[in-house]
Amino acid sequence: MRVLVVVPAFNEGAVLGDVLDGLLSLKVGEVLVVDDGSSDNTFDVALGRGVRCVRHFMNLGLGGALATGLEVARMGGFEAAVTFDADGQHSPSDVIKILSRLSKGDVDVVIGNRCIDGGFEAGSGRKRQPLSKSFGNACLNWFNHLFFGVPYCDSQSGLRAFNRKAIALLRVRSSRYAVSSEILLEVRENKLRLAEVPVEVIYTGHSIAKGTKVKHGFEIIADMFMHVLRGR
Amino acid sequence: MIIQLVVAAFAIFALSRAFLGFRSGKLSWRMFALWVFVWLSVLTFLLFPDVFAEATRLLGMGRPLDFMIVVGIIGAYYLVFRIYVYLEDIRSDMARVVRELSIEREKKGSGK
Repeated sequence: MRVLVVVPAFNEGAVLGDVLDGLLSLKVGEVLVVDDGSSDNTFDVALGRGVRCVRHFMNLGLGGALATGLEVARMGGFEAAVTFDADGQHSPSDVIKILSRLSKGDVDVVIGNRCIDGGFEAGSGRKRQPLSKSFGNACLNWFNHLFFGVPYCDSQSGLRAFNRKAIALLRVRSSRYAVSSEILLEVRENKLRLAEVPVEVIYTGHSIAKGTKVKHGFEIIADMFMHVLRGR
Repeated sequence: MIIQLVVAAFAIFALSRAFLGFRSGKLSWRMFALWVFVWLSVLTFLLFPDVFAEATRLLGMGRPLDFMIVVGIIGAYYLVFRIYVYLEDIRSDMARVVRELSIEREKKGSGK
């Protein structure tokens, strides 16, 4: 299976090298970094690892970077695309896990769910997400259900896998963090089959600092509300 | 009386601008219909204030002017929404341009 692993990155030079090393060691397919207008050395780190890198000349936001990655997958005729956050919060081995689920052929999209058996905090031995994160995710899942009618457990997960059909059908409009909710809406509207698999989440100081914050949560809710108002 | 004349003249001017915008294709028929409705409502209120008296009474408001203010606030919120949609469309178009240029540059092997 030809797989493209899309890593959207914005000012992730400090941790991107380790993330790419982990992904490259898997040898699951091509790795594509979408440098979303970073002002640090993100682009050079990606080139240094020998991976493909598309560089936006201005910052579009998470949604814009993901849409670029999916467009490259579409144009390149890839059979599967995986999205993988660049902040180091995912375990590279989970890519194998979600691709295995996808390759069974009974689903079109697989979401890595950080709530089922996941949420390990690195080095602390804790087996739960930090309370603020789990509360924020629960709120966003609830709003996701309310506005879009999609009852999934981890609507904001950045670890996803799409098959060729999903890559062809998904059209992402939102440039910002609301893209995660929009993808689930697209899944529903295109009648794609979705499964969630439990994945590990590695909470480090960096991944917490770079992750979705309260203000992003409000932006996501506002964007979902406006999506409903404008009727897409 | 003078204020009524001034506002009526402005409403007629705004209607003419909306018509010209529609005729030249700068205004969609929906937006044209919206503006015609808004300015005809203003003209009706100025010329026949009693028309609004019944609506005002039904809504439990004291004066026709209160009714107009409420309608104005709702209309202003709608305009904010339209501007939001317009900005989102511009943002989307801009993202598409950035995406196509970036992918093209990557293909040519000159990411920078």
